[in-house]
Amino acid sequence: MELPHHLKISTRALLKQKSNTILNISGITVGMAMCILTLMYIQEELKYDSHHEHANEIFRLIDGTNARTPGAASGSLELNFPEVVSTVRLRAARAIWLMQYGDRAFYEDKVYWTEASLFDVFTIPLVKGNKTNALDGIGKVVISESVARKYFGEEDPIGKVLQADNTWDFTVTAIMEDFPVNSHFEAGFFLSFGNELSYIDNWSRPDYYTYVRLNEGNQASILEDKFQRYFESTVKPSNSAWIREYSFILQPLTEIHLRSRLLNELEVNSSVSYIFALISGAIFLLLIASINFVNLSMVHSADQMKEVGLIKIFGADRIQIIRQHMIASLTMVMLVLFLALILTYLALPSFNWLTGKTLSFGVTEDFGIWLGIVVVAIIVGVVSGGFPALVMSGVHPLFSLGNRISHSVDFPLVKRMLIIIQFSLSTILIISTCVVYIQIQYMLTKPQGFDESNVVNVPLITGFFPGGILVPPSGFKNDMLRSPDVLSVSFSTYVPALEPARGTMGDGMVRTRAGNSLRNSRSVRFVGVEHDYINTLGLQLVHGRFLRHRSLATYSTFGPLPVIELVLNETAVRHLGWTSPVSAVDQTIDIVYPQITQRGRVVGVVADAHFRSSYQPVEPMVFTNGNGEHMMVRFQDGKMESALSYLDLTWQSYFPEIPFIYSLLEDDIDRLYVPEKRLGSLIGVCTILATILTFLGLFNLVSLTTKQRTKELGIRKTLGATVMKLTQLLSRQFVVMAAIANLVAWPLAYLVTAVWLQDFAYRVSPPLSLYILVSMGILLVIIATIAFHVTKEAPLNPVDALRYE
Amino acid sequence: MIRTEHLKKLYATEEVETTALNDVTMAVDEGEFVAVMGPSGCGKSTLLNILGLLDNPSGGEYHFLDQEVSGHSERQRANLRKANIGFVFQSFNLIDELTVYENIELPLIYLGTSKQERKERVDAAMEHMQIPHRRNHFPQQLSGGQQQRVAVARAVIGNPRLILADEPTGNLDSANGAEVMELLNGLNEAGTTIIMVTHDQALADHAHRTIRLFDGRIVTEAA
Repeated sequence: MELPHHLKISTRALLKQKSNTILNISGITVGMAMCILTLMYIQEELKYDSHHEHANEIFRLIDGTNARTPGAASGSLELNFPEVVSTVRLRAARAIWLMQYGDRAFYEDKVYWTEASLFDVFTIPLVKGNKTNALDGIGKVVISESVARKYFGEEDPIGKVLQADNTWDFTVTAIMEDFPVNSHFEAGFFLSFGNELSYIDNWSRPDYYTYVRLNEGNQASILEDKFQRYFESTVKPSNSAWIREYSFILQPLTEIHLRSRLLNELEVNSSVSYIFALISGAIFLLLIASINFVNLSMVHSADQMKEVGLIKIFGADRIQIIRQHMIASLTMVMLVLFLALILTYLALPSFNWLTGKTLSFGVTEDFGIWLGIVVVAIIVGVVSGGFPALVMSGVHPLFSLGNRISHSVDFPLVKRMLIIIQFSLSTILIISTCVVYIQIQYMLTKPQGFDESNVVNVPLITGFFPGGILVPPSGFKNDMLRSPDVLSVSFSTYVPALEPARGTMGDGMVRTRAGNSLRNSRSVRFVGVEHDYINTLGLQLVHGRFLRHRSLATYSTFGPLPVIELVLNETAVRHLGWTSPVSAVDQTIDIVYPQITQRGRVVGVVADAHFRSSYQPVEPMVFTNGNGEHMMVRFQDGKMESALSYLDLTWQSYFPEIPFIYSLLEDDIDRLYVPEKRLGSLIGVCTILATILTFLGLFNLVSLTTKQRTKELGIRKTLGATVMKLTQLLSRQFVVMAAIANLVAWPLAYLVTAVWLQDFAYRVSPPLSLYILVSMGILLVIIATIAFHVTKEAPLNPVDALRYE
Repeated sequence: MIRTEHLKKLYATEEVETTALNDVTMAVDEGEFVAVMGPSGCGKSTLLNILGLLDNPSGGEYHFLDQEVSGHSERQRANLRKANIGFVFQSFNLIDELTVYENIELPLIYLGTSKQERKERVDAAMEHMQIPHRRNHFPQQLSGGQQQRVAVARAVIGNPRLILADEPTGNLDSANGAEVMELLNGLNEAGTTIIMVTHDQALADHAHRTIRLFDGRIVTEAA
C-alpha cells in the first residue's frame, strides 16, 4: 500500500536530475537492447538445421577434414548397420547451371544431385507432388516454391520440363517449401541421380555429401568406430580397385553451421568461437549495464538517506523499506526493459542489415529467449535494488535529523569492492572485445597471398562445350588477350574462394623419397593450372620456376606416363618433409593414383596463399599442368569496364548462345568472410557500447564517491587547495584501486582471449600496449571525472561547505 | 504516560566516551505540556529522541504508556511510535519529492489507513492548518511558516497522544513562530501531550512546566 508513494519519491528524485537520469537510463536501455539483439542473433545461429524432424538423429559422414565421402559409403552403412534408418547422398552441381523453361532462363547455383531417400532423412515439406516418387528415376527434379514462381509463374510446374545447361532435361515432379535461411545449405533444385547410381557407388572418389539418419538413442561415436573397422577389415580387402585411406567421422547435423569448416563445405559456415565471443559480449554488456544500474541506485540512494530516515520516524520498518526499494528498482528495470524492447523492435531492420540476418520480433516462437530476458531483468532488478535496499534499510532514523549518530552512510569496503569489480570488468571487457575486433580485422585484411584485385573469374558451362569437354576452342584465349586491357588469361581446375562446394581441388596422395627409400604417402591438394596461372593470380614465386607453357591439347593426353612438372606451395614443402624451398626443388615425388603411380619433379615453390578463408590453415598444394572449368582473367587497373565489355564481345563471338557471366575475385574473397564481417560489425558495436557504458558507469561511481566528500572538499578548497591538488588527493585511492583491478583483469583478459584465439589458424598476439592503453584510458576517465566534480561541486564559500549535509 | 528512571545515554568512539544523558529520572502525565530547556549540548535532543523511541538508552528504564520500552527492538519501537507519537522538527524535515498533501498523508500510510479515510483526514488537517490551497505544492515552494504548518499537520494527522517538538520555531520569524505555538497550544488543549525542546524562555512559558538540563542531568523542574 505504501508503494506508490515511494515510487513517486523515486521518480521525482530521478526527474530532478533530468539530464543525468536520461543519460543513465538511455545507456542502460541501449545496452540491454543490444544484448537482446545479440541473444536473438545467437539463438538464430544455434537453431541452424534444427527444423528437421529428426535433426538430432541426423549426421553427416565426413572424411577427416573433407566434407565429402565416397558414394559407396552410404549403401554400405544402410546395408550393414541396423542402427541406420536411412542415408542420402548429395552432390553439388559444379560451377553454375543455366536452367531454362521456354523463354525463361536463369543461372542457378543452388542445384544438387540427390536420390529418393532425401525425404527419409530430411524434413522437406512438399507443397505439391509426392515424396515417394519425386526423385526415384532419371531426369526428375524437385524445385522450391520461389524457383517455381520464377520459371512458371502461375502455371502448374508439375510435369513440365526444365532444361539444364542446354543439354539435360528434367521433369518437375514436386515443389518443396523454400529452405529456411538457417540451413547449412540451401537448395533450389534437387535433381535425381537416376541411372548414375552404379557410377557413384564406388570407394575411390570422395565426391558426395553423405547424410545418415540413425535410430533414436543410438550413439554416433559407436557407429563411427564400427564403420571405420568395417571399412578397414571388410571393404578394403574385398575391393579389387584401389581404395584410398579414409578417416570416417559422423558429424551431427545441428553442429555443421558452427563447428565445421572443412574442405568442400556446401556453404560458408560460421564458428562456435564467434558465438562465444558474442555471448561473452552480450553477458558483459548486460553485466556492465547492471553494474551501472546498481551505481545509479547507489547514487540515488545517497540522496535518499534523509527520506528513509524520515519514513522510519513515521513508522516504516526495515522490511517495508527493503520492499519499497526492491519494487522501485524492479519497476525501473521493467521500464528499462520495456524501453529496450521498443528500441530492439525499432533497431531490428538496421541490425538485420548489419548482420545479414532476417530476424523477426516473434514473441511466441522465441518464448524461451523472452522468458530468459525477463528473468535476467528481474535478477538485475533484485540485485541492483537489493544492495542499496539493504544498506538503506539500516539507516538510523536519526540520520534524517542530522544528529550525531554512530551509523555511517559510508560503506567503504563494499564500495571499494564494487569499484574494483567495476574497474576489472571494464578492463577485461574492453580488452577482450578489442582483441576480438583486432583478430577479425586481421583476418579480413590479412593478405591472401595473391593479388585479388583486377581479376574476374568466368565459369565455363560444360554443357555448351563440344562433347561436354572443357577445352576452349583454339584461338579463344589469344583472342581474349588481344585487348590491351586484358593482361592475362588462365584456365584451371580451381580458383581461390570457389568454395564452398563448387571447387575441385583434387585430393591426392603423394610419396617422397629419402635416398632410395620411399617415405610414407601423404595427402595433398592437386590443382591443374596453366603456365600463366601465376601471373593471372599474382602468386609469389619463392624458388625455382613456375610450370612451363604446354599446348592445351597435350593436357588430356594419357598413355605412357611422362614425368610431370610440379610446383609446390611452402606448406607442401614442409608437409612433405623438406626443410626449405631450395631443398625441395628438383626433388621427385610419386603421385599415387588408383593402381598406378606417376612420377613428378618439383620445379618451383610458390609462397603460401589463402585459397580459402584465412580461418583455416593453408593446405599443402601441388600445382600441375592442367585446365578446367574456371577461367581467370587479369585486366589493367582502372580498365575493368572496357576489359569486361571486350571479354563479353569475344565470348559472344565464340559462344553466341551462352551469356557471358563472371564474378570479381575480390567479391568472391569477400563472400568467404561473411561470418567474420558479421561478427566484426556486431563486436564493433558491442565494443563501442560497452566502452560508453563502462565510462558512464565509472562516471557515476566516481561522482558518488566525490559527492560524499563534498564537505571535506569545500573546506580544503576554502583553505587554499587548488583543483589540481584536490584531484590528486581524490585520485590517489582510485589509482590504487585501479592498480589492484588491473592485477586481476590483465591475467584474466589474457587468459580469456588466449583461449578464444586458439581456434584460429592465424591469430594476432594482442600487444601489451593494448592493455596499457585500455587501463590508462579508464584511469583518465576517472581522473577527468574527479577533476570535473572538484571544479563543479566543491563549494568555494566555507559557510556553504559547512552547511553541506 | 512517560516515566524514566536513571536514564543514561553514552556515545562512544574508539577514543572518547561522551555521556549525553546521565541519571535522568522524570515523568510526564497525559495531557501535560512540558518544555525542556538547557544550553547547547546538554542532552535535550538526545532526551527527546529517546522519549520519541527513535533511539534506545544506554542504561536506566523508560516506561511509555506503562510499558518498559528501553530494550524494545526497532520494529517494536516503530509500531509504538507510529501509533502514538508525532514529531515536529526545527528544520521541518519534509520530504522534498512529496507534495504538501503527500507529506501529511505519510504517517497514515504506515498506519494502514484506507485511502478514503486518508483523504478525509488530510483534507481536514490542511483545512485546520489553513493550507488547503497549497495542497499540490512541493515544500520548496512554501515559506518557512507554511512548511512548519505542514510539519505540524503531519505530526498530528495520526491523532498521536504525544507530540515531540524539537525547537519548532527555531527556523521561523516571530510571527510565524507565534502561529506555530498557537497550534501547539490548541492541540494540547484538545488533550495531546506535548514535550517541546526550546532555547527560548518565552516559548517555554507556554508549557505547564519546564525541565532544565545541564551536562545530561536534570538540574531543575519548575511549574
